[in-house]
Order: sequence, then structure tokens, then C-alpha cells
Amino acid sequence: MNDMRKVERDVDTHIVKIAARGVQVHYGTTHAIKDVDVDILDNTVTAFIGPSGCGKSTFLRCLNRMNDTVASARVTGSITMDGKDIYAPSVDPVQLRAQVGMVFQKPNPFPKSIYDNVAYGPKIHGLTRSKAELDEIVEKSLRRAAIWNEVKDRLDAPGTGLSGGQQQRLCIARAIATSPEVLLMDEPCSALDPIATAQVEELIDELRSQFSVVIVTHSMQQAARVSQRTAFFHLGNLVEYGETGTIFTKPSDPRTESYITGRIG
Amino acid sequence: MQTDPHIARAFDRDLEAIQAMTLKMGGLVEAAILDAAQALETRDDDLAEKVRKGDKAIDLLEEQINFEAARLIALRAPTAGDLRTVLTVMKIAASLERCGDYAKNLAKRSSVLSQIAPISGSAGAIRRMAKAVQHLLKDALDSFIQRDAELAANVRLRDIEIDQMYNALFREFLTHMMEDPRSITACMHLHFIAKNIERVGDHATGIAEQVIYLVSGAMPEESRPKSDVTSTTVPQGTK
Amino acid sequence: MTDITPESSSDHWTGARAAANVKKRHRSELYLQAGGIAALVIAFTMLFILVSSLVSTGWQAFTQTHAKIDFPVTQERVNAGNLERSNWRAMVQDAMVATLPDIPGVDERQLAIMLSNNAQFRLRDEVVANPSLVGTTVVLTVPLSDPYDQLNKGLIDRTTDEEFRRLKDAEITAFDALVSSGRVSKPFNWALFNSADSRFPELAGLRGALVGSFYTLLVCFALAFPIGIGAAVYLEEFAPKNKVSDIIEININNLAAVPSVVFGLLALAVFIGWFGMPRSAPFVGGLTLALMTLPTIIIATRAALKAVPPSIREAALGVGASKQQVVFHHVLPLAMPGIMTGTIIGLAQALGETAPLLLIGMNAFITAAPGTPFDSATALPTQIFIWADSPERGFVSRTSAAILVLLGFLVLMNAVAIFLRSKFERKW
Repeated sequence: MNDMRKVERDVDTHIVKIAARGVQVHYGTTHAIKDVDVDILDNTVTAFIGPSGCGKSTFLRCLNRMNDTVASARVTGSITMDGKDIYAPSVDPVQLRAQVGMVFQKPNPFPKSIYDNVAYGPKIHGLTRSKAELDEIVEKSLRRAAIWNEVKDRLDAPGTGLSGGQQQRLCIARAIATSPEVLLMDEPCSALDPIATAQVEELIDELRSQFSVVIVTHSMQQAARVSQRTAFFHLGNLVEYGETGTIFTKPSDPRTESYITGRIG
Repeated sequence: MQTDPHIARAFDRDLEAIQAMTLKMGGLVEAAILDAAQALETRDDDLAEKVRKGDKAIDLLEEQINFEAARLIALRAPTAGDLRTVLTVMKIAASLERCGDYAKNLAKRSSVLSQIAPISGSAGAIRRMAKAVQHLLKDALDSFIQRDAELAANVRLRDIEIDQMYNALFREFLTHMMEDPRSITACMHLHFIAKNIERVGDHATGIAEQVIYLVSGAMPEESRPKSDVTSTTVPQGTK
Repeated sequence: MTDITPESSSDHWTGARAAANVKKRHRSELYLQAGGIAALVIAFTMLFILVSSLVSTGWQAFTQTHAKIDFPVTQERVNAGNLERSNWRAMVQDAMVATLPDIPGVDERQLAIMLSNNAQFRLRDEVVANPSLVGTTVVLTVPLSDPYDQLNKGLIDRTTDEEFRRLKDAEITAFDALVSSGRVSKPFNWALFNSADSRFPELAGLRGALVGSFYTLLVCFALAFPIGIGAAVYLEEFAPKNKVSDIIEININNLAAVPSVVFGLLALAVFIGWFGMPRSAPFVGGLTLALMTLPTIIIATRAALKAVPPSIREAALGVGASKQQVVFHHVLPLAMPGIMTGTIIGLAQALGETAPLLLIGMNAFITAAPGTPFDSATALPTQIFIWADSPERGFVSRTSAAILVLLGFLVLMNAVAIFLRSKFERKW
């Protein structure tokens, strides 16, 4: 069928990277996530869509144990990465977050130089042994984030002096500097203008050849453009999960169709 | 028209893919027309069989193009020129599928005609008409891929020649049938063949009009020149 | 059809009632503005009155009348065996008699005490340092004693009756003679800053108090800053949020409101009474002030920490920083400008605190600047207290001058705090 299409990113997208089974999340008495089962595949962009408050960001934050920092949060069920339970007592959440990077909604570079922003992660995790190695990691990350050419002459300039789109790409560079295996993105383009959004989306498409990416977005069009698999959340439940083209042309669940066609909020 | 690439390169890849599929389909249809006309002239049944079987591939391509176009609209939400491109591709695919059916019909009838006595000069005339219409179709598809509105307008005008050729053949077959009733079977088949080829010419014109819509954003207003007068032709000598 | 035309909706904005509303609103805005301006005017007037009264009494203390006198170092007054024990006082007296001959009504002693009491010691130090001066004449510019200094500055009214006047007519004549001989000058009173306290106003200075205050603030800062920040960081970032931490927070806020004299009593009873620390020492003063400044620093630090946006913490956590790394690598450096501002303001408050220092004895009469924080000393506010009580005329202006010096330091410290705050203020 695809003999006419130019070869897409030549990646194998069948390995399960993160498997979630029966995940429930409670914030105090609120039952935020109800019994979610999902397989996140490697080298794939998976999009979580759904109306506000449906729990997609909550579930995303379970994948790198950011919910641990919220006192009232309680996570049950199993989430495994490469077969190993990430909530096991022997797993150090601090180390997990170096392997599962995160990019947030509002670009939040540290008020340090561009170089220090990217170098911070590798430094605190002891990933390099010399300055030269650190320089190399910084350059590689900035190149991968498609921002190297714009900042290579001013690595000492403060990270907060860049434009919105550049700041977000810097945050992406920072997240990938620790060579994570999974990249989580929580509405990364919400605060960006359309051109910056398009640049970041193209970057995500390029990144998936090296990582698996999970992106939460409240824009269905963005999920359609950028992802290969889409999961639709509604009121804490995972309603439907499948290949993006199928979800957007013939979804199986009527709730999915209602949301995608703009019939329910 | 926009020549800069999209920031999302996958979008460009998808658009190129459906346009490439369209061109491939066009190539297959053009070849089918010429092959069928040749099969008629050389009374080659094997060639005719090949054309008949080849229509499956043409139909399959149309299905694929429709599937990919729907996916592109759902996933990319194209606007402006990109949207017109996708709509044009879908219409061209439909037209080409009909042209493919006509070529198949021509091949079927040529198998029948190879069994009966030929009408002199008819095959040659048919071949010339087929060649002309293939050229018209090719130009229409070229105008699509090059976004050339002038070429498309030219195609619209040249359809008149196809119509005139058809008019001439129509009168000739009428004369033949009146003179020699044994030639009626052959002339009827030949007539349908000529009619189908003339319809291909109309489709080529339709494609050219779509191209003008694609380039300028509006369908051409002036009605195209038609000179198919066969619906009102009365043979001489009848009351 | 009815004759009554109800007020249509457009009349809401153009009718008489609307106009009256607008006028009322304008009037109340005017009153508010007038009230605000009146409050400002009153406040500035009070401030102006305060400062100008201080300046008017104190500005004279920044100059000191001196006289250039020739002191012959005569052999007969010199003690050959022990140069230091020579009769310097007589030498001074001889010099004054020689400078001002023929003044009727004043005896030698009166002439001698025209000069400040330390003229003899100045002479002594000069000659002892350079024994070859014996037999020569040493020319020194020495301060005049306080009554004459006041006379020169016009603060002794020549027109009052002689029996009510500090200086008699003959003494005034002697002074005028000295003036007309061109020996009198009124340079800037460096002694105010270079000399320690003294019985004699013309010699009294703030050096002891300045050094004492410096040591006190140093000890206060060295203790309150680390403890305050440590406590605030722990309470804000690491302590679990439960009833216990709520109680601690309430208590810290209350401590900030405790009257400072209570801390003085505490210091007297515990530090000096139980622990037996030296009385009047800047070290004890620093300890006491540290206790007082601690709540201020804790509260300011907590506010500065709270002001660091959570997006920075999340970003650091997301990269895989531990809680400790988040606090020490990111939150604390970003909160530092706010912490510094709060600390400087707290220290400025401590600089002006009098009551606790009085209670631990830093209002003693001490004539030398302290060498270590454990020596007895005074502090600026207590020094002002001491001088305010002294009877000599010269101390009146010097008290006001000392207050101006203290105010100057306070303004400087607050200005530094404001400068730091505006320079490092960040727009997130």
C-alpha cells in the first residue's frame, strides 16, 4: 500500500516500552485515574487526548513518578518499563527521572546560561568524566533539539533570554541531555505561537527515531499531526487506544467519535 | 502557488505521495488507451486481453488514492492550496477511473471486431483519435503536475478537435450502415468505441478545469466550446 | 398607546441620575486623593521637623575649634631621667602664657585650660617619639577646651550677665586676643570619628561606639544568618506540613513581635547570669540581637523561598534532581536577593536597638575602642544615650551629631537593600 510513499522514518515500532496495567490514581478522596491499561511502544509518538480534567496529565506524571511530589497522591496498579516495575521500593525516583525525561507546558529554562541548562542533568548524575565530554553532550543535545545553529555563538547567554519557541526547544535539549529512553511532554506547545509549534512538532517527529515520546495535548489536530498512536481519556478512563489514522478516520467507540468531531467537551 | 516546504515534512511527503499515485494512474490509463487502439488496428487479441486485465490495477489505485486522501484530510486538516490539491486529486482519480473503464471497453469491443470483417479506414481513424485523446489527457495531467493554468486552458479548447473527429466518424458510420447493412454490427461497435474515446476527451477537459480551480481557486466561468453535434445530426437522404 | 414614556435603556447612561452618579464618584475620588496627599504631607512634615532639628543642633559638632600654639620644650621642664614623666602640663602652661601676655584678669591656670586637657599628652607623645625635639619648639594644632569651642561657635551668648555666663569677661577677652593673633581655626572634627569616648566633649568621639556596633552586628549576622536561613529552608522545603509545623510558624511570627527589652532581660539573666559571659561585651550584645533578628530573617527567607515559582522546581525535578539538589542548586540561589534584602533590613533594625544593649551594660563609660568582641564596649545607640545624659554643653550638639551618624548608617543600609532588590529582581 505504501510503495508510493517516500520512506518514512525507518523505525521498528513494535517493542513495548512502558506497560501499564490496572493503574488507579487517587488525590485524597478524588478518584482521578480509573483502571487504565495501555502499552506505550518504543520509537513511537503516543498522544494522550481528552477534555480538560480527564486525567491525561495525571497519568503522564505517573510514568516518571512526578506524582510522588504531591503529598495527597496515591498510585496503585502496575507500571513497568522494559519489564521492570517503576514503583518497586528498590527503584530510585530521582534516577528514574533521568531515564524518563519531561518537558512542561510553560517553557521553564533555569535562570542560568544555555550551556549550564543543558549540562545540569549530566553533571548531577555524573554522566561525564571531563569537561570535553560535557561539551560534547551539550552540543549533541542542542543539535538534536534543532537549536544548535541559533545558540552556538552564545552558549553563555541566559536561557531566559530566548524566544518562547527557542526556550521550549532548549527545555527539550535539557531533557534529552541525560539520554533518557522515554520523553514525556505535557502540552509542550500550549504557550507557543503556530510557527514555533510547527517547529517543535517537526522536532518531535525527528526525535522518535531515538526515543519513545508520550505527548499530552488538548489539541486534537496536534495529536493527529504528530503521533502514531493515540489514547483518548475521558473522566479518568482510557476510552480508546489505537493507531492515529484509524482513530481519526473511523474510531470504534462512540465517545471517541463525539469528542473528535467536536460534539462533546 | 506555494513552493516552500511545510515545516512538518511528513505533510509534504503525504501530498507528494497522492500526487505521484495520480500520475501513475494517469500513465496506466494513457497506456491502456493506446494499447487498446493498437489491439483494434492490429486485431491482436492478446493485447486486448492485457488491457482488460490491467483495468484492475487502475481501479485499485483509485481506491488507494481515496483512502490516502481521506487520511490526509483527517490528519493534516489541509487548507487553501493544500485543500484544493487534495480535492483535485480525488476528482482526477475518479475521472481517470472512468477513462480506464472506457479503455477496457474499447479492448473488449476490439476482440469482438477482430472476428468480423474490418471497415476500411476505420481502425486508422480510431487510432488517430485515440492518439489525439491520449495527448490531450497527457497534457491535462501535465498541467496538473506543473500547476500550469495556461496549458489547462489550451486543453479545454483542443477538445473541439476530438469532438469534430467524432462528428466525422459518426457521419461516416451512418453512411456505411446505410450503404451496406452487413456492416451494421461492426459500425455499431466502432461507433461505441468512438463515443467512448470522445468521452475520454471530455474527462480530460474536466481534469483541465479542475486544474484551473486548483491554481486560481475558482472553476472557469465561460462554458467550454462544445461542438459535438451528433445529437442533432440527421443523415442525408432520410425523411 | 400610553402617554407615560418609561425611561428607555439609553437614558441609563445619559439621564440626570447618571450624571449625578458620575459626579459623586469623581467627588469621592477627589477626597481619597486629597486624603492621601494630606497624609503624605503630614508624614513628610514630621520627618522634616525631626531631621532639621537634629541638623540644627548637631551640625556644629562636625567642626572643632583648634589653635596653633608654639610649645617650647624647655630643658628645665624636661625630666632627664624619664622623658615621659616630664612636666608637660607646665610646658603647656608656659606656652599659653607666652602666647597671650598681658591679658588682665586671667591667671596662668586659666590660660592653660583654654586648651584641651590632652594638649599636654599630645606634646608628650610628640617629644617621646622624637627625643631630638628637646630644646626646640614644637608647633602643634590642638583643640580648644569645650567652653571656648562653644564660644567660638557662637553658642555662648556674650550679652547675658556675667554671673550667669559660663565664661567670664576676662576669659572672653583672652580668647578674642587668641583669635586676633590668627592662631584659631575650625577644621572638620575628625575626632568625632577617630577618638573613643571621653570626659571632655572636645575630645569625645564615636570610635568606640562604631567598633562596638560593628562587632555586635558581626556577631549578630554570623549567628542569625546561617541559623535563620537553615531554619527557614528546613521549615519551608523539608518539614512535613502538619500541626507541629503550624505551631512553630505561629511562634516564630509571635517572636518577631516581642518587645526588645525582653530579650535584654533574657540576656542579662541567662548569658551574663548563668553562663557568666563578660558584661558590656559586643559578643553578648550580638547574641541578644541575633535572637531578635532571627524571626525577621526566618520570615523574610520563607517569603523569598515561596516566591520562587514552582515551574523551576518542577523543571529541576524533571531532570532528575533530588529534593536537596532542587533546593540548594536552584531555589536558594534564586531566593538569595530576597533573603539578602530581608537580612539587611533585619540588621538595620538591630543597629538601632537600644533597650537590650542597655540592659546588658553596654552603656558604660569606656574610653577605648574594644580590641576583640569580648572587651567591654558601647554601641552607637547606647553611646547616644550616654551623651544625652552628660551635662557639658559640647555634648548637646555631639548627641545630635551621633544621632545623625546613626541615621546615616540606617539610610545607607536600607538603600543597599533597595538597590540589591531592584538589581536582582527577576521577571519570571
